Amino acid sequence: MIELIILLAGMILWRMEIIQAYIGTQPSLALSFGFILLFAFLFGQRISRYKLPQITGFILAGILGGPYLLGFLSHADVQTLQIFDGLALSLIALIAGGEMRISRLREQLKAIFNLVLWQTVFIIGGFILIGFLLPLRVFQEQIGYFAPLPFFLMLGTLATATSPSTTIAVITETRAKGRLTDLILGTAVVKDFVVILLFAFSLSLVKSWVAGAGGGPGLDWKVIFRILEEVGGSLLLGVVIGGGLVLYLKYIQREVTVFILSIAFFSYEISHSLGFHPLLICLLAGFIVENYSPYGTNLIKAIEKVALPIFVIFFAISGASLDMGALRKSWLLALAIVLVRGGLKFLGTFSGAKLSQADRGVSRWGWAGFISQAGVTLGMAVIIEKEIPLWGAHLKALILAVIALNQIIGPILLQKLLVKSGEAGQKQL
Amino acid sequence: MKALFAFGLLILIAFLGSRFLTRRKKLSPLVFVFHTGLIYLLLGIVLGEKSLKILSPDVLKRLSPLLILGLGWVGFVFGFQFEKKYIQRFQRRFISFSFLYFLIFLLSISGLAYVLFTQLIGLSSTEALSFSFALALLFSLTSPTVLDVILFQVERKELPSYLARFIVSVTSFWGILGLAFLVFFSPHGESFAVSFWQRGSLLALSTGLPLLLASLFHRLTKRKLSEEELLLFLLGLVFLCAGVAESLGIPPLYPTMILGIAYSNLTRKQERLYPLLLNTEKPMFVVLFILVGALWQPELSGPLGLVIFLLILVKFLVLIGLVSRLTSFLRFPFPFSPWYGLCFLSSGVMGVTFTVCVCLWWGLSVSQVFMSVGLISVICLDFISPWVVRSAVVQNKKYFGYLGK
Repeated sequence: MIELIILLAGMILWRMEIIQAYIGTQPSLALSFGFILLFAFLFGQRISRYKLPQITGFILAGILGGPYLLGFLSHADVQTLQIFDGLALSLIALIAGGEMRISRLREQLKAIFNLVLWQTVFIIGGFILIGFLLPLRVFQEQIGYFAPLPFFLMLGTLATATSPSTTIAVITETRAKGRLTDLILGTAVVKDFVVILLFAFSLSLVKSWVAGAGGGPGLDWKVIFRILEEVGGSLLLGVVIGGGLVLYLKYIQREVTVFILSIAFFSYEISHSLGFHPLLICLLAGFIVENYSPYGTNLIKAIEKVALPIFVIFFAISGASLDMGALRKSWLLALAIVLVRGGLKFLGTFSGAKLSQADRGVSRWGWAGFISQAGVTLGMAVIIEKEIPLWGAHLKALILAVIALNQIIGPILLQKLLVKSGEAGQKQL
Repeated sequence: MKALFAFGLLILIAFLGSRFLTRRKKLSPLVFVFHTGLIYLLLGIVLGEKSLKILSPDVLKRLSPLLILGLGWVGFVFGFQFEKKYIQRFQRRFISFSFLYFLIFLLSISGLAYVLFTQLIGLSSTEALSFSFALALLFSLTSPTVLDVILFQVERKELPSYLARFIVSVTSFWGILGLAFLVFFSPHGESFAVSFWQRGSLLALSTGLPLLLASLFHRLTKRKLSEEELLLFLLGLVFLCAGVAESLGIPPLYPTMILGIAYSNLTRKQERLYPLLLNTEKPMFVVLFILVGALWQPELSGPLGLVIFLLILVKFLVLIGLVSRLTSFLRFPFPFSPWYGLCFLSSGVMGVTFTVCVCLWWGLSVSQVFMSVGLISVICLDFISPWVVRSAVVQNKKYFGYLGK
């Protein structure tokens, strides 16, 4: 604790105007980076003593040190440091792929399918229903004018998403292993892609609806084909990178960590420039190494050597970039959406688990594993803002507030679930 | 994004190249260019603004924390070897040797460089004084990378080789200390804008703060930690220390060296930390060299080429003439051949880091001349080092013959 206080006090002192004026300091990104790395890690460790996930600590430290509260990181710093997002996302996906064994997944296929299907149906259907039933004038001031159906269709689509990166990070941190862990991870990953596809369909539908051209909703097939092309391209690239990794691990074997870091960086950048999905690419690459070669363990070990600092900075920066202004403005409505989403997640998970005859624990508590939300949802909110100027900006502000709440409570709930199920700590070191 | 993609791709290519080429036993300069990492410097030049324009100033600005971290990491790793127990194993005369070696370089190179800069390049006397002092510090730096590889390949494990390795690895301490004095007391750079006392407090701060950080670091790493946690603390502290230096407008090499020295004398985890530092330094240096290459806009005119040639020549002469005389003056327990001084030829990573530190502190626009002279000298010396150092080691066979292995 004392180290945390020293660090915080030192940084506050360093940023005092009187000191800055005397010694003539200038802003330094390296200094902010070093501070946030240490501060977030120590904060995470502190938080873990209260049986909370370290990731929540990293995120909270990011919020605390970020531009909205203490201001140790400016908006520009946060934007610059997001360069590590790609690297972290790729590594997270490689770990996730490397943890998935076909044999274990095959057993869970039915359950994953049902969970994804029923969560999606309940959440999107539930939000559309709410849009029709509730007296929404109360919220008009906060979210502006909207036609209920398109607005709630988009809100429901975004609410369906779960953050696979946070899920993987909590699973890695708790060293969880078992049926429930596989189910949650598999569902989160599959759902991520279902949501991306759904989002493309919903967006093209809503766009034509809002524009009113042709008198009714219609599908923009170009958008749909583009999405399919992106998914196909990502899968292909994932296979190529996975194959490359297997060859490297088989024939060269030296400096594996450095090689994987380069691959992670490379695959993220290439996917970005081609419009592919880095998560899918690296997930498949990791999956191939784990299932079609004997080097899965080598891959995970090599990544784990460097993963900690990258995860800390990734979650701290994601915390710093959470829009506290939006949360302050519409926290009541955001809280209502979080609660409704949680309820619908419960109904979807309960139905999916019952239909696939999953364990009682999954039907009762499985919903708690799907609360966290981060990058993908944020990315979709940004697209909505751009594509639907009429109310896109309002929806984005609201979604930012919802993400902030979900990202704080999501990892906590998932950790509690993994501990309760007895799967936390089951993975051998 | 395109730029970053290309950056990642080139690191990958260079990395794979180094993997395959360094496996060869043949002592060719090409192999050594990979060993010392200088190939990445050339890659950086290719990617930089003057050639492919992939690493544009905007991208470089975004990657600046990595540059600062790389510079700080070199300082920390260098300082970390100054563990009291290790240094005490060697007699004081060896430390005196490294100091006298530094002093002779300081006087000879700065004198010559001053004359050359004022007469050939046409710099003002104040500018030439700082430039020549900085250049003399640069020429006094030594790096053990090439010597290590040669000693490993020719399998020389005698005491003199071990001793030469020790002296080569610690001599740069004086150069970095000199850099600290140059920064605070020369009429250039950002710190000169403030009063003498303020500069004095800056010097005290850049020495005291790393000591404080080192004790904080020691507190943090006292308990049982995993390797990943240790790496995180290392990265965080070096970032913090180098960031403080950047914030104060001073080169990060000096404070991070102090951090390394202080921490290595506080901790008992050296055995766990050394492998970690060694594993991390390769990717760190690759990124550092590429960024440095991209920052550099090489300038080479006739007079500059002549300056570089003359400075390298003087370094050769001083090394051949000085080392064996100094060893006999300090009554070393065994003789050194005149050629053995050439073991001190390469300045490698330390030379590159030092040059960039000076240039960042002076401001890049005014210091491209220094950067060109510094980096071209370092590249030339490192390129010829494999042959020269190998010849020097082999030439000494008759001197070492009687000592046995």
